[in-house]
Parts: sequence; C-alpha cells; structure tokens
Amino acid sequence: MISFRQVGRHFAAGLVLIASSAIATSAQAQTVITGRVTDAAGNGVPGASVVIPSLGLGVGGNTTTNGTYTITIGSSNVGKDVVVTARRIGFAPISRNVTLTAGSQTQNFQLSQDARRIDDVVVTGVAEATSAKNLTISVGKVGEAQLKEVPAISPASALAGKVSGVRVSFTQGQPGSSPAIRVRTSTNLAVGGQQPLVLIDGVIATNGLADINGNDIESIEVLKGAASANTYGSSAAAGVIAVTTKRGKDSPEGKVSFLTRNEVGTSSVEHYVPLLQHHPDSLNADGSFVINSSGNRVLKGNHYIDANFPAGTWRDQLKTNLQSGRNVTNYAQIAMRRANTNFSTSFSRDTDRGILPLLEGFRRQNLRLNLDQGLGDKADMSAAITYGLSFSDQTPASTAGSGSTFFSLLQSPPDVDLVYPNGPGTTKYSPVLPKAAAGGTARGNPLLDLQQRSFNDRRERIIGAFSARYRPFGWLTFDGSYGTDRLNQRVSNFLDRGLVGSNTSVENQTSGSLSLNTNNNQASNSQASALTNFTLGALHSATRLTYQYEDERDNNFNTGASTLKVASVPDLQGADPLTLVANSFIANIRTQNQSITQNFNYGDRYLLQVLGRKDKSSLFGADNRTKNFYGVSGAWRISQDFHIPGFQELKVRAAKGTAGLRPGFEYQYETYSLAAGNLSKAQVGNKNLRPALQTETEFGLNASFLDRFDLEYVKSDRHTIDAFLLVPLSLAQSGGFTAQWQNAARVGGRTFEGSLNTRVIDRPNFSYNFTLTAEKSHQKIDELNRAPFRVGSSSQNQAIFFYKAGEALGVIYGQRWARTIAELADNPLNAGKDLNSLYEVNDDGFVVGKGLRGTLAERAIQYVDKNGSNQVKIGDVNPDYSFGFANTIRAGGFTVYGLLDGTHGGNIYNFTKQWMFQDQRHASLDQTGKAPENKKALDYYNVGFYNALEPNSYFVEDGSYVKLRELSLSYTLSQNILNNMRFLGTGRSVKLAMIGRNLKTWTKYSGFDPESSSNGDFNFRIDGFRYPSFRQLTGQIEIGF
Amino acid sequence: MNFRTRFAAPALSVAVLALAGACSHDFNVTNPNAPDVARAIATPSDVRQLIGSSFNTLYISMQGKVDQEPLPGLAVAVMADNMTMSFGNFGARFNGQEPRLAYNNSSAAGDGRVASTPYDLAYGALGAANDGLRAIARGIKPATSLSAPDETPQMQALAYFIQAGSLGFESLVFDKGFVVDETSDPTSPPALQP
Repeated sequence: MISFRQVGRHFAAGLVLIASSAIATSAQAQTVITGRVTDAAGNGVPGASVVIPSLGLGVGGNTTTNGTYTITIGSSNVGKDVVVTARRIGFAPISRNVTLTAGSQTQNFQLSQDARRIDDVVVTGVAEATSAKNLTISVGKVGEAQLKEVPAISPASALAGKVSGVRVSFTQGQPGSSPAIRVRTSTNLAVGGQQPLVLIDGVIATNGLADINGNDIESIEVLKGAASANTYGSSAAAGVIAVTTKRGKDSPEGKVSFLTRNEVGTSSVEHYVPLLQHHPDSLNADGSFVINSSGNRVLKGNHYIDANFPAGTWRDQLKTNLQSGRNVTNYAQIAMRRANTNFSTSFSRDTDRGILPLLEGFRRQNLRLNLDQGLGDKADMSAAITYGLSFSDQTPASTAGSGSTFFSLLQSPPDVDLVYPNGPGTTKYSPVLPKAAAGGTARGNPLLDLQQRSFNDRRERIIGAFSARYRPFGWLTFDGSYGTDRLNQRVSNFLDRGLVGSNTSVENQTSGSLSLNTNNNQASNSQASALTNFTLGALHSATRLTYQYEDERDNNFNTGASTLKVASVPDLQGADPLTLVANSFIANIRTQNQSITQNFNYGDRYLLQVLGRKDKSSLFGADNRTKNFYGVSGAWRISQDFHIPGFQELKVRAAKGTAGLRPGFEYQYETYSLAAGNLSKAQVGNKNLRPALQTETEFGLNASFLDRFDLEYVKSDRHTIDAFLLVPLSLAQSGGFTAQWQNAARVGGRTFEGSLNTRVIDRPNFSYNFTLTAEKSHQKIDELNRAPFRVGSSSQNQAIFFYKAGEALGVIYGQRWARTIAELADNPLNAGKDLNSLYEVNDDGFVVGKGLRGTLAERAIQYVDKNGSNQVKIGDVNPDYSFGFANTIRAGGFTVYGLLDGTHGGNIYNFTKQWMFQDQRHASLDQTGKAPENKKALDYYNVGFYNALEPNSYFVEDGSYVKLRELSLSYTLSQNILNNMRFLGTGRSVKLAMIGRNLKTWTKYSGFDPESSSNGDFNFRIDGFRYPSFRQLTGQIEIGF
Repeated sequence: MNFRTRFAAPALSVAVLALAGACSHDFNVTNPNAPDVARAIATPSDVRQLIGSSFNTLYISMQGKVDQEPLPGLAVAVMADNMTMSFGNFGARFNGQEPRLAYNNSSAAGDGRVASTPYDLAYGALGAANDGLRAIARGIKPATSLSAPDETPQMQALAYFIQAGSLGFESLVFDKGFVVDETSDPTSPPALQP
C-alpha cells in the first residue's frame, strides 16, 4: 500500500508539471492559429492533429471533443509561409499553405472520410491509435459492421468464424456458458488453459467475457500471439482479446439518440443423437414381452437387435423431453454528445430457457454507462461502468458428465413415459423405472432432479474503467487509468429432505442436502503512461512509457451438508453436523509491469515498432520475481514506393516477440494438504518457477487489389518454453512430497492463416461482399521433462489423451481394433501361430475369430504392438484446417447476412456413444435391414466395443463440420414508408429482422455436436453427455430515433 | 468555480493516483490455504498430528478409500477372484483378465494409478513418520497441547511402526523400492534396491 506522504509527493510533482507547462505556453504566445476540424456533415472531429511539420517538434495541437484546436507559435516565425496539415485516422489528411501573421488567425478544416476500411483503426498492442494500413503486427478486428446483423449472444461468440487464427468452440451449450477460445495453437499443457487475456475497455477482465452483452460491443480486437501481444507481457502468450463498448462520441451533436432492439425466439436441438428403435428380447405369441421369474425381459437366442417394440410403445426420449425454449432479449441504448461531453448508457435484459424442461434457464440484466468529458482544450476524462446480474438454475449435474441429466436421458428406456414411469396415478417423475422396461441399465429419471432441486447461481459483476488524459503540449499526452473487475457469486444448491428418492429399485425419501458457496474476486489495475510524438519531415515518431500495477484478490468459501435434519429449511443450522463439510480458498496476486513502446513511421512507407517490458509478479518463484519481454516488428508498404498496376495496397511485414503465461497461485509453494484434520505432504515448493515464455515469429502480407479485394496472409512460428507441468516425484526421494510444479515442457506451433475481404458488387441499390478466413495449424510437444502421461477430463475413463515429447498435442491413445489379420502378427503372443486359420475379417471390416460371425462370441480383436502393449495412437483432434465464410447481400432496404464456419479433419472421441452401447440405446446397434449373414449379436457391441469403457478406436469419429452459424434477413424501412407511419413521429429508423443462430450443421459426427469438448478446451475433444449447443430462431425489431 | 477547475481536480487526482501506484509493493505473498513444512510441524501438537495422520495414509495405501479411488483394493480383489466386476473402473478389468496379461508398464496405459497410488501413499506415510522423528530429534516434544504431558516415547514408537509398515507393504507388493528413514540425507537420492 502506498503511504499518504507518497500520494502527496506525486500530487505535488503533478502540479509542478502542470504549472510549468502553463508558464511555457504563455511565454511563447505570439502567433495563434485557431480553428475547427469537422467531418463532411459539419460535426467536430475530436482527437485530430493539426501540425506544421516545417517548424519541427512540438508545433501543432490536437482537437478537443468538439473539434476545435489552438496552435501557438513563437514570434520569430511571423511572416513565414508554412504548410498546416490536419489529419485524423479514418479520414484523408488535408494540407493548406498559410502565411503566419502576428496575432490570431482562423483555419478551419473539413475532413472527408477515407472510403477504404475506415473502421480499421487499431488501438490494442500499439503505442497510439494506428490505421490498419500502418500496422506492423497481426491484429484481428471485428467491427460494428460485422456485429450488427446478428447481435452476438456473447462477445466470444462474436468472434466465431470472423477472425482468422481464432477458434471459438461451443464445447457446452447451456445458456449463459462461455465458449472456449484458442488463438492459433496451444501454449499451455494444462487442461482448459488456452484462454486468452481479456480486456474490456482497457480493464483486465479476470472473470472473462461471460457477463457482457453482445449488443454493447462496438468492436473486438485480437492480438494473436507473442509477436503482437508482447505489450501485455507475462499474461499474453495465449493472445489478447480487447473489447471496446459503444460510446456517445459518434452521436449527432446536441441530440439525444435512442436505440431499442428487441428479439424474441425459440431454442431447439438441431442435430439429435440417433436412438435405437428395436430390441433383442423374446416376445410371446401375442406380441408381449417374455418376462422371467425376476421380472426382467429375456433375450432372444441370437441376441440380434431386430425386433419391433409393441405398437405405440417406443418413443424418442430426446425429442419427447427436450423442449423448444423461449429466448428474449430487450436492449435499449441512449446516447448523446454535446460540446465536450458525450455519454452512452444502455440497459439489457436477456432470458434464455435453453432446451431442458422444468428449468428457467439463464436470466441476465446489464446496465452500462460510458461517459467522456472534455476538460478544456488539454484534458479529458472517461468512465465506463458495467453492472451485470445474472441467475441460472442449471446445475452442473444438468449440463455434463456421467450421472448428468443428459447421461440418464440419453440412456432412458424408450418404452417408458418419464413423467409417470409406472403409469397414471403413480409418482410423477419417479426415479424407479419399471423393471421390465427395455433392456440394459436404467440410469434413473432425468426429469426428477430438474423438478426437485432448488439451484441458484447468482452472479454479480461490476467492471469499471476510469481514465484521464492531459495534453500539456501537442506532442505530449499523459494518461492515468484505473480499472476494476469485481465478481460476487453465490451458489445455493438445495434438495429438500423428504422428497422422492430411490434405493436401487425402491422409492424412498431423501435425507436432503444443502450447499452454499460464495466466490468473491476483486481485480484492479492502475496504469500511468506518457505518450510523446513528433513529426520531423516525413518521419513520425510515437513513444509510450507505461507503468501498470495489478492486484487481484480471490476469496472463496464453500460449505455443505449431505443430510438435513428438518424439511423445508435451506439453512445449514438444519443440517446434520456430522455431514457438514467446509473449505475455503484465499489468494492475493500482485504484479507490476513497466514498458516502453516506440513506433516510427517514415512517410507511411517504412514502419517500425519496438517494445521492451519488465514484469514483476508474486506468482513467479521467489528467486525469479522478474521477467523481461521484447517485441520488434516492421513493415514496408511497397505500394507507397512503387506503382503496381491493379494494386491499391501492398505491404509486407515481419514481427518477433515474446510473451508469457503466469503460474497459478499455488504453483510456487511448498504445501501440506489438510483434509478432515489429517496432514499429508502435497507439493514441493519451487522458488525458481518462471512464467512460461512464448517466442513467436510471424511474416505477413497485406494486399488490396482491383479495388475490391483485401487479402491478408500470415505465417506464424512459435514455441513456448518453460510450460508448466505438475511433475510427480519419487516419494522415496522427496520424503513424501508427491509432486512439484516445474517449467517442464516446450510446446511448438505453426500456423498459416489468411483472410480475403471482397466487395464483389458495390452499387447504390445492390451490393454483395464476403469475407473468407482460413487457418491451418500444427502443434506439437517438443520436450517433456517428465515421463509421458495420460490426461483428459477428470470424469470416469476419459483420460484418453497422451502427452509425449515429439507427439502432436491432442493425440488420443487407447485400444485399436485390428482391420487385417496380418497386423495381428505384431503381437508377441501370436508368434508361430497360423493366424489365417484362427481369424477372419467380418463385414464391418474388423478381424474376428474364425467361424464366430453372427454368434454371441463374435468380437473384434484388438491390435497389440511388438512390445506387447495394446495402448496405441487411435486419433488426433487437430483439424487439417478451419475456415469461416461470411456473406452480406444488400438490395434496397433488404439485407441478407450468412456466416458459415467449420473445420476439416480432426477426430472427436464419442464417449457418449460408448456408454450408450452398454445400455443398448444407440442406433448403431440396430440390425434391421442387414442381410442375415451380417447380423451381429448384442454382445458384439455391448461387451466388445463397449469394452468396459476403455477407450478404443471404434468411438473415434471424424469431427469435420460445416455450420451455418449465423443467418439473418433484415429489412430497413425506407423513409417513404416511415413518413406514412406518422404515429412513429419523425426522424425514426426501423429495422425488422429474422435471425438464426446455429441453424444447420453438416457433419458425419453422430453425436449432438462436433464442437463438444472437455473442460472448455479445444484440445480435449471428447463428447461426454454434454449439454449441446442449440439452434435459435428469433424475430427482431430495432427502432432508432 | 468554473467548469475547467471543477473537473480538472478529479482528472488530476486520477492521474496522480495512477502515478502513485508506481510505488514499490511487496511481492512475497504467503499462501494462506495450505501450510508449508515450517507451519505444518511447528508445535508439539503438530508433530503428534503428523505422526497420527501417517496411520491414515498407510491404511488408505493398502485398502483404498471408498469415497475416492478404491485403489488397489478392487483390482486386487478381482485378481484374487474374491469378486467380479462387469465394468472397467480402477483397473479391475485389465488386471483381472484371464489368462493373465503382463502388467502394462507403459505410461500410455490408463490404469497406471492402480500401481502408483498405493506406492506413493505408502511412501507418503513413511515420509510423514520420518519428518515426525526428525522434529523430535530437533527437540520438539509431541503432545496434545503445550501444557499436556510429553508423548515422545509413544510417538517415536508409532513412527517406527509406520516405517516398518510402509516399507513392509512396499516390499510385499513391489519388486523394488527405496529404503529411507529419518537419518537419510534428503539432498542425496537413495539407491533403488531389490
């Protein structure tokens, strides 16, 4: 903490600085040029620079928020003829010859907008706001034009398919969930550790993007790796996503503008898991099932699943029980700009019931206020505050994993009504399903918990950004900012005592349970920076010095009891004290960063950016508290030097830099674990722990040609050294400590990415343009300073991925079913055997025992390698390439917008299907329609391929897909129509739209969704009973005035 | 107060406070969630607790823990035909197959924990007993509290029992191991012994 005296010292220094600048200004006041810089509509252009290059450094000024400026020039220059230039990014600069006279003179400038890519001004990762043309690094940007047709459900989903090199994967689809984001390739070996650094209006958003409404976003910028994100040092190796929210600066002067956008629609499953529609059981002559003395059905002698259910008894449990949920979004924004003040405030309300019955789903309200205030000519200040409050009654058990709602729903017997399983008049949603229901194991009633449990996840989020700028001279700007991200989360999970439960096959009463969890996270970052720039002839220089301090405090408390003493009292005092458990977690993280960024721009031709940064963090080991980062990048705009027919722009660029990943809070510490009062050694501390360090080199090419094509192509090579791994120790040698976090791996990645933006037709009443993005990546574990190991979801038998040096990151290991008899010879146990006399290949292409086809004993034979191991590589999740294809057609007032995205290649492991084989629920088991000689017994599947849930090649599927991610048809009412609708008043704009999200997926994958993966991590593509992402179809009306 | 003056003060305050953040901070943060060795065995009752906990650890290493991973209990029970299982959890299926398959010593094998968990837990118990004995050697007298009677002889006896029990278990189940006790030098790795 700083002392009062220290605050006073800095404050005094600030006053001295300000006073000296004021004195300096007045002493030189001899010739004064004043004026206003406006746009084509006559509105003032704030932030434009008006300079006189021939008079050198410091002669010039920036415009205020209403576009006015003042330049003061010494008396020695009176009488000189000079060139005064006004420029602003996004506008074509204007120069004018002026003769300096004593006293005051007025020079107004009217700038016209630069017609090409006006939106492409980048503020992230550079010393000062920079036109995309003058960038030396890769920055992906999604602007308002790409966001407004289909308002994104969340900022992360707004990136899907729109920025090359950025993979957005909806690993679970429950409303309110955040998709996984991976930029280029993985930098981290920890499960779920690929998430990029998130900035919201400059605030480090520790708690992610989940609470931001897509309607509030003005633009999103993405820095893709160390070559560009080095500005953000030790937290940026996985990339940076910077979200900018809407402000009032673009509103008409002196007028309040109002925008309301309302969307109502339905959610539904687009792609169902195919369910088994026949059974293998014996039937009586009257068509009823044969029931044995235990009350169970009896399998037919051949165990073939080819018999029909009695008429009217089979139902598709998915289509019967998953609902079409309603979603509603109401959004209202008010913005105004007057003189030096502008503001934008918005309120939004979102509800989304999702596809599960009996739940409310997700509800959220957001309030946002953005305010900019000019303070005279030389200073301004800004504030941006978001308050978000959301509720969800979707328990974790309803969304993923074995034992979840989808687990029991996918495996429900098809001939049972889940509402009244035992018939009318019996217990509603009874957990005890009829014993004689269709074979396999009943996994309870998925509806019961949805109906009984009282679950509430209340999430409150406050994000605030406050900043002030002071420009004592045209060439010098001071910035100070404070940002904070605060999350208060309370989760209560109550199952009342006395509700219906089950004890294997008998209904009973539950003893109840209650858990109460709180999560309080407060992160703040304070930043001070100074920006100097000067123009000397054709050379423009910008230098930024930055100091930043980050402080994060995490305070979690969890408690619960598995037995309640009294009913209807969701209070821990009503709990059985013997079943009470409690735990807590407290963390404080402090980080201090200093950086210097230098940009040179010579005549908009030759561009150079250099950066140095030093990070000091409490997360680094005590002996390695600081880490340095660097970045250097350059570009040559060839088309500025040479006229190339057909090319409006041609730029080549190269960049190299470093960025890091910070260790987790507990990584560096020596710990004993405490559980139920018992002490046991946990991990050895590591004082030498360093941040993981990524070095990335990228080469890029940007071209605009034939007046309608913009192309970008980038090749990136990166390697991340010192990646974190929890390395197991020999307990004998460590004295009982089990593991230590070490910088123990090196991960490499190479990406080729490109985007093509085309204006195919561009006429006043008709236009068609498209943007194509594509990416091809390879990622590999180069070094691993520990034994290779299995990793994956913590759920049962889902550690199917294998980490090994030299192997691609994302390979799947398990048992592989042999396809040829010859490969069985590798098995040492088969030495000397006549394999052709023992085996044959069946019609599925699997090797099986000779003479066993069609019998109960038919089984696929597993491959065993020459070392006698049956654990071999059976898949690789990495796609060959991925792409996005966005199209916009405008005709009159109509606009059609469609976004396709997808991947080609890459496997997904269908664990859901594997378990459904045991319970006889998956359509793959169906034998109807097969030739008699090709029919298989149930055992071939539910013993053989099910394989006691051991991972095997049968369930490795092609994860390629093409998804119609977004589609909208909108109509903007013409002024003629609006004039006839007098009840709306004047000056209105009205847009009507039909919007679809995730409308259609083309894939060979047999599960709900090929984007499914574990732990929100694209590397772990394993489908394990997860809430699928769903289709939304909505109608929208937007009114502005 | 004119407009400029009214807003200049808060603007400057923000700027100055941000600059003031440039002051030095303490980056040595203590982990409040789990103790290190110094905090875990600082008092007589800690040492008593540590040695007592090692019993729990050794028991789990041999028997597994029902509400966590029953290792190696289920696999061994299936191997011994004491029970049968139709599913593959906890290595029971692989290790229970007949004819017997050779133990898969590859790190790609999914059931490696069946062997490593009891091995590690037994050495964890041994490590705790050795730490307890070293603390006693440093002069800490184990007791339930500062004013309670000295329990050094009992705790020493229990720690030696754990040493014998854990090393005995390791030698029963595994073909090689490390023989370490409270006199072993923690900085010099012990030799692997058959």
